[in-house]
Amino acid sequence: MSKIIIVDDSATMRSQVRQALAAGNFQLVEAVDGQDGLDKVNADPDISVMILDVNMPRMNGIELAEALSKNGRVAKGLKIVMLTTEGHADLIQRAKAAGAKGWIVKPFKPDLLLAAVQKMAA
Amino acid sequence: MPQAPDQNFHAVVGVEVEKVLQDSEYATLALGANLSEIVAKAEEFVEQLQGSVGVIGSSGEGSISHTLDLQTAATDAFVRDLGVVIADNSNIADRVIETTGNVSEAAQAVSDVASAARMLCFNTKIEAGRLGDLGRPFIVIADQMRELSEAIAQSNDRISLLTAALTPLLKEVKSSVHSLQGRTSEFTVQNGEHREAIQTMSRKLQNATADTIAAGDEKLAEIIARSGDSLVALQTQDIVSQRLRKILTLVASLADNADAKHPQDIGFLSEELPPSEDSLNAGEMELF
Repeated sequence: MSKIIIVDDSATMRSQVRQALAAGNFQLVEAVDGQDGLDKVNADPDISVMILDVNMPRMNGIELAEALSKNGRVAKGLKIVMLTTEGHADLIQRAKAAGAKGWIVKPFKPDLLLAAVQKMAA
Repeated sequence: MPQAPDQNFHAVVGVEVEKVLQDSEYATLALGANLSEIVAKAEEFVEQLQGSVGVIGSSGEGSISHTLDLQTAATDAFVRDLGVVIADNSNIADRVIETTGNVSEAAQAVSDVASAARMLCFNTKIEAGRLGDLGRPFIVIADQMRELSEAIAQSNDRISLLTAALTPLLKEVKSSVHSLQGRTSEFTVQNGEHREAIQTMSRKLQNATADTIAAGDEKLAEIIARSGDSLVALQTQDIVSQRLRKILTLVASLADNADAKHPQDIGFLSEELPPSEDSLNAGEMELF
């Protein structure tokens, strides 16, 4: 069973991502901001997919993706899917350069997110 | 020159906006949870409904349709066996009537023989009378033979009476058997009509259950699609709350009369970026 981490400062959004992924038979973990996400991923090598918001306090999603790229976690197979209200091409390019595998603009369609995460976890 | 904003005014607005945000977030969470529960209950109900109607409409072992088929087959077999038994009884009745007729004919022959014997006794007595004393013993024998032939004739008459009484009784039996045969044929026809009606009803039931199952699937798909749309609406509500919170942060920083924060410092990452045609819009996805 794949372990997925949802990094978003909105409890509502984390809850809705959980509901969208409920049919996927995943083990789900949550983090409330970028720094929390970094700590939890570093502490748990079993996490294989990260669903990552961009605009968050303490550390934003782009910075977190870049940190995980630098510390080698992305190279070890962590798949990052950005899930954000942002859709600017420059931000997408930064995330892509940091090793992110997908970008979804909120509000998302639950079936679309599930399909994307299933593809990443396969 | 415009006056600087009143610090208390901003604090009061900030508290009120914060309350609105908290209420909004609570409502969004509660709606999301309720929506998920509604979909789960709907899925559970449709599953139960499909299970129930599936049992009624199925054609496998233990189903109504299968049980009706078994009942019909058993009734058909019983009617066939009954028909064979009735035909056998009818044949037996015919043979008994024929045998009774033969007995009557035999009794008539015996009666003829007894009459001839009586005539012979009468002639014997005449001839014995002519012989005088020498013929006396023949007269005694002739009398005994006459008595014997009369006894045979009486028994024969009795047999004839009995066979005559037996014949109409046997004809009644045969008539009853024929009547039973006719009733069985009627029952076979009625049974066929009932079987056809039951089969038609069973087919209608199966079609109705198939329609119900399909309708359940369709309604469930509609509920899931609508709940998906509602979840998107809830996300939008959440996004609005997040943006309000950032505006509130900006307002608070102005109210503190401190250096205004740069939008990027509070999460407006794309504010300073130039517009781009490659940007993604709400709901869009790109996998790299």
